[in-house]
Amino acid sequence: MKKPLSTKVLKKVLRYMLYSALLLLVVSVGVTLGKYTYSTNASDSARVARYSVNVECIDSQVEASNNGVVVLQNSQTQEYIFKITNENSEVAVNVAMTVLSVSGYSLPNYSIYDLGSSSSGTGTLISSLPFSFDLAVDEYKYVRFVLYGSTPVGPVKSLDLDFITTQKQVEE
Amino acid sequence: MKMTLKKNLIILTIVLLMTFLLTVPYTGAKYAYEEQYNFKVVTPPAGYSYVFVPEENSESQLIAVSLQAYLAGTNRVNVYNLTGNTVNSLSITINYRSTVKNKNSTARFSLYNSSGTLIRTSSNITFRTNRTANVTLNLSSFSLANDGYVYLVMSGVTLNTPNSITLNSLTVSIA
Repeated sequence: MKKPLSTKVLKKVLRYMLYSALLLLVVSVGVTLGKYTYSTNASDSARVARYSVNVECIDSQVEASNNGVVVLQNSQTQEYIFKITNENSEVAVNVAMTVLSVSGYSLPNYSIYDLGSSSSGTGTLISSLPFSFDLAVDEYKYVRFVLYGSTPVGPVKSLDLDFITTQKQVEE
Repeated sequence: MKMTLKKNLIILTIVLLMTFLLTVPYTGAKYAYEEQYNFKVVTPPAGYSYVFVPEENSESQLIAVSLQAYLAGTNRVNVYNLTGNTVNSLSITINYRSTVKNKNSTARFSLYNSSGTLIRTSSNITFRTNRTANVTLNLSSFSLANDGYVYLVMSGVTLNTPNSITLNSLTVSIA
């Protein structure tokens, strides 16, 4: 019958296991702090693949119009064209475009149109939100956002236009 | 310090747990990116409208109408406060040209809140004879909350030669 391992031997085994685990820990820390935390537009530092989505208002009117304040007479409209690009990425992305009512304000009238890959034209009216679409690597899409001056006149109305992008899959 | 078997086990557990915690986000997290644009839409009532945002405390508009035409039309001056702060005073400056030779003309402005309730009426402002000049009206000690609006209406006008006064521009300032 074999003799059971002595405490001394057990301690030695555990010590080597500890060294191994420490080595793994150091590698993990290196991985986390080094290569894989790099990102350009990150709201989450951890990731499974690098991707970068750029959303821009191509005529820059959002930034130019008094902190996003739009003054419209009753029958007037104001439109903004956004270009959403999946650029320099490793993966395809899903984009969900949605409108949020801002607390304390009534919602202004608006419409969203899918322009596809063209930066002009009327586009296809999006009838329900969120407007969700996929973009392959280096692919882009134009979206037209139209605000209407409407009754009742007087009160300030407000909305948030959100572009939420998530990576679709990790490329092997 | 002598490492007992128990201590070895505890340290090993801690190290393995930390390794697990560091590795899981890397393999399991979903990367998300969000961009948000905020729009505030103002559809003012008919009249001359001024919208003030944090960077601004004065706005001017060329109107170039006779005083008679101004009074006959929508002569409201809508003032929106989107500065983020309460506004307590307001001044309105009118640049005018008068060709009246014999007598001054006068007018008053009434200030209303967005519900149409009269807040106050100014004293008379005077359009003096035969000149181009500015006339400024100051209204203070009222409270215009952020995102609210008030409007001014010219009233109590005494016109001596109605077609001879031209309103060149309106400038509204807040403080």
